[in-house]
Amino acid sequence: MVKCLQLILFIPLFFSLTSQAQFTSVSYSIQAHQDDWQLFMGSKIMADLNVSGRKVVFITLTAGDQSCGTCTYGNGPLYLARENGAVYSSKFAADLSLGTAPTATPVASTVTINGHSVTKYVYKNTVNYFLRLPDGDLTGAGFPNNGNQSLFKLKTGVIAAINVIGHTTTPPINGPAAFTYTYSQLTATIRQIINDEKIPGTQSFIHAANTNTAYNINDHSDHLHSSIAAQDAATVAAGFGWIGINGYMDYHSSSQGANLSPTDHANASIIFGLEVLGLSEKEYQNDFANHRQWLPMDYFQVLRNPAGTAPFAFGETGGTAFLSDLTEIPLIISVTSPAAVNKDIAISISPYEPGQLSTTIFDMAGNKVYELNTMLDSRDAMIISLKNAVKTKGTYILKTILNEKFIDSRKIVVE
Amino acid sequence: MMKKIFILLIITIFVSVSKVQAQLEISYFVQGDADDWQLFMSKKLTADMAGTSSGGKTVMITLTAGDEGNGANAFNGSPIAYYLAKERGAIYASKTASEFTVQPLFPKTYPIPVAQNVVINGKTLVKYYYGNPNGQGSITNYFLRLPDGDATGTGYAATGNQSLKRLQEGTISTMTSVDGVNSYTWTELVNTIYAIIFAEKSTDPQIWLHTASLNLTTNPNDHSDHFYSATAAQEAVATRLWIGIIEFVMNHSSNLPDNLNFEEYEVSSHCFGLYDWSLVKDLYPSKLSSTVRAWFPVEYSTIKRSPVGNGPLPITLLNFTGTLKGNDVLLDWSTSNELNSKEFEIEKSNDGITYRSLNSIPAAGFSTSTKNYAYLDIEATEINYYRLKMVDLDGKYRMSDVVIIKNNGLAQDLTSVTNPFKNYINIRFAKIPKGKVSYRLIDLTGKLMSRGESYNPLTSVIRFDLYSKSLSKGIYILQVESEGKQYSYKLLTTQQ
Repeated sequence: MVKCLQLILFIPLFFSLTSQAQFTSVSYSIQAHQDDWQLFMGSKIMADLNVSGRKVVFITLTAGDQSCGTCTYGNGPLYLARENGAVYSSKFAADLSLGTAPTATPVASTVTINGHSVTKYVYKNTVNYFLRLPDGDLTGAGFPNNGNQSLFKLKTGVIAAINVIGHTTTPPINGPAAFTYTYSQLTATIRQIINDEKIPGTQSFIHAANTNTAYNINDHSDHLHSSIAAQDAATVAAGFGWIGINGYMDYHSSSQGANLSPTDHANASIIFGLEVLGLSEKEYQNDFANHRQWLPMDYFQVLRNPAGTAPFAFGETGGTAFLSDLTEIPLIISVTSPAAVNKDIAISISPYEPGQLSTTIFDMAGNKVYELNTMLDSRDAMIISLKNAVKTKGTYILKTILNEKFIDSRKIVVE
Repeated sequence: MMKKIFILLIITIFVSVSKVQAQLEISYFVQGDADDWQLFMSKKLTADMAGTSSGGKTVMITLTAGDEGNGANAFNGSPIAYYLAKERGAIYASKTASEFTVQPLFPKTYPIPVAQNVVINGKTLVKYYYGNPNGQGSITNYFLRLPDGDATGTGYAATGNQSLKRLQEGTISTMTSVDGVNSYTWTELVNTIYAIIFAEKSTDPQIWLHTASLNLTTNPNDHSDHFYSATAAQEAVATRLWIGIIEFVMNHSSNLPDNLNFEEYEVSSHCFGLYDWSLVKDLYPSKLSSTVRAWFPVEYSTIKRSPVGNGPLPITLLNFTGTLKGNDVLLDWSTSNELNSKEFEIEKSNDGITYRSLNSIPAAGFSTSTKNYAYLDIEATEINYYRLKMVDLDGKYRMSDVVIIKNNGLAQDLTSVTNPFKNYINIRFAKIPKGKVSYRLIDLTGKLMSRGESYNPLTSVIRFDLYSKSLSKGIYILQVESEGKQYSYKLLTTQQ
C-alpha cells in the first residue's frame, strides 16, 4: 500500500519533467574540444546511446579555437565550424542508435545557466552544451590572441576568471558576467547542467579525460582540466555520488593497440568524419588523416563508481538505486607490465559481464604463444591470472575477447 | 590602300571543358550509383588520387540517379530531391577523399564544389570539380541522372519502368534523365561516356577505366545498374585499346574475406558515412545497414585488359592547304579531333628558314568531330611559306608540315608601311626586291631627317631603324626607291 502511494506520488512528478519524460537514464560526456568524444570515447558514447531510454549530454568547455578566438580564416569562424561538426556527429549517432527517421538538424539556442550564457543543441537522445572558453593550447599557456587564458590557469589561480571567446580578454575578469567564469562559477555551471539534465532516481556516469597522468600520459592541458572541472563539479560531497566517472586515455591511447570491434571502428570513422565535415564545409583544413591514429581504440578506467541515485530535486539526497541498465562495456583496466618470464600476468577487468573469456598472447610475428579460455561468473571485479604465460623476453600482443566481443588488444613487455 | 586588313574565317563549335594539366595521371570510374565507389572502389580511387608521384586526377561518371523510383521528387518532408541528396553525399565524400589524399595548402581548403553544366556529345551534363587547380589529387564528378533500374533492372513504375538493362536490351529505345534534361539511346549513352573520357583526357597516352565486373562467375548477383553501367562503359572503350579496364567485385564482395587494412577500412567507412550524412541531414533514412557495413572491409578488383598503344594526340590535323585568291593566300585546315587544344598560330616565312607569326586562331579546345579553320593572308608575296603551330592548353605545341604558295604573276609593289611610326619603319614589298632599296625621310619643309639603304634583302619586309633620330611629333614624307620605281608616303610619327 505504501509502495503504491509512493508510485502514485512519483508518477506526476516524473511526467512533470516534460523534457525528460522520454528518458530513463543519462550519461554525460564532458570534454575540452568538439571532437574529443568522437576520438577517445566514441564506442562508449555509442553504447550509451544504444541503451534504451538513455540520453547523452555533451558539455564542451572550450571553443577549440586554436588561438583564433572568434576569427575567421575559412568561411566562418573556426569554433563554429567545429561546433557544427560536433552537432553533425551527435545527430548521426542519435539516428544510428535509435533507428528512427531523421528529423531536422538542430539549431542553436542560447540558454542561461547559473547566470551564464551557454549555447545548446537538442536532438533526440543527445544534448550539446558549448561553453566556448578559450583554447588553452597543449600546455595550458593559452594564446596571446585570447589573453593567454586557459582552464589550467583558471584552476591554478593564475587568472581569477576566464572569458568566453570574443569577449574582453584584458584583463580577463573584465568580461561581461554572462560570459565570464571564475573557477567556482565554471564548476557551478557544469553542476547546474548536470542537474538540469539528470534523471531523478537513477545512476549515471561522466565520461571525461583520465586525470591519472600515469595512465593518460602527455594529454592536452584542456583535456585534463576539463575533466578536473567536471570532477570538481560533481563531487560526492556536493551530492553527486550517484554519478560515476570514467576516465579516458586520450592522446596516449594510440600507442596501446586497437581494441574496437569492426562496427565500433567504422562508427568512429564515420562520426569523427562528420566532425571533420564541419570544418571542411567551411573551407578549413581536413584533419581526418592527422587524427585517424585514435579511431581504432578507446581506453578508459573507472575512476569512480556511482553510489545511490540522482535526487528528485537539486540538493535532495539520492533516491533508491533501482535501475540496473548501467551495464558498462567490459574493458581491461590494467595488465601486469612489465611482465616477467615464466611468471603470472594479472589482468584486471571492470566493469564486466559474466561469460566466456578468451585471452590470447601473440608474439610480434603473429604466432600464438599462450591462450586461456575460461568462464567468468558474476562478480563485481575480476582479476585473471595468466599462469606462466610467456617463456621468452620480448614484446607481445595481448588480445582479450569476452562473449565473442573483441574488447582489448594491447602490447605487453615481458622482461 | 596601305591599311592592314586581316580577315579571319573561323568555323568552329566550342564545347565547354575543364582545363587540365598535362602529364596528369587520370583514371576513370564509371558506376551505377553515387555510393558505389565508397563501398567497392575506395581503396583504388584514393590510390589513384595519390598517384604514383605527385597526385593523380580521378574522374567519376555516375550513370543513374539512384532515385529508387522517386524520380526528381523529394519525400519525408525533405527540402531537396532524393537523387540530389545522394549526389551531394557523393560530393561530400569526393571532397574529403581528395583532401586527405593530397592535402590542399594549410590552413584553408577549397569550398564544396557547385554544379556546373557542360555540353558533351550534345548532352547537357552536371559536373563538379574538386581539388587542386593543377588537377593533382582532384576528382571530377559527372552525373547522368538516369532513372534507377532497381536491383533486377525492371525499373520503377513511377519512372516509366526505365532501366539501363532495358535500354541495352532494346526493350525501350530511350531513357530520359530524372531531371528531364537529356534523353539517350543506348548508342548515345555509350558515346557520351567516351566523350566524357575524351574531354577529361590529358596528354597521357594510356589511361585506366574502372567499372563493375562483367564476369558473372566472380561478380555474381550484382545490382542490374552496376552491371549495365559497366556494360556501357566497357562498350565505350571496347575498340580504344589504349584504355585499360579494371573490374571490381561489387555486391558479392561481402562474401569474400576481409582484405582492407585499418586505414583503408576507415576510408571506406568515412566516405560512405559522408554520403549517408547527406541523406539523414535532410530527413532521408540512413543507408548504413549491416549489409552496407559488410562491404567496408573488402575490395576486390582484377585487371581485365591492360592498355595497348597510345591514345589520340591533342590535335589531329586532317589537312593543311593554301590557295591563291588573287594576290592573297587562303589557308585552310581541318582537324578530326581536338583535346585541350588552345590555338593555332599561323607562321609565315619568305625564305623557308625564318618564320614570323602572322596571327593566332583559337582552337576548339575539345572536339571529336571535324572542325574547319581558314585564314586569309592579304600580304602574300611572290614566295610564301606557311606552317601551323598547334598549341595545347599546357603550352606544348607541334608544328604542321610547311605549305608553299608561289605567286609568279605577282607585280612588284610596296604593299605596306608602318604608319604611324615611332622608332622604326617597316616597308613590305609584294615580292622580295632585287638590288638596292633606298629610303629617305624628310619633314614637311623638305629637311632630310634620315636615310638608308638595303642590298638584296632576303625578305620582302625591310626595316629602317630610327632609334638614333630625334624626330618631333608630326607628319613626314617617306620616299623609297627600288628596282627603278619610286614610292612616296605621308607618315605620322608619335616620336618626341
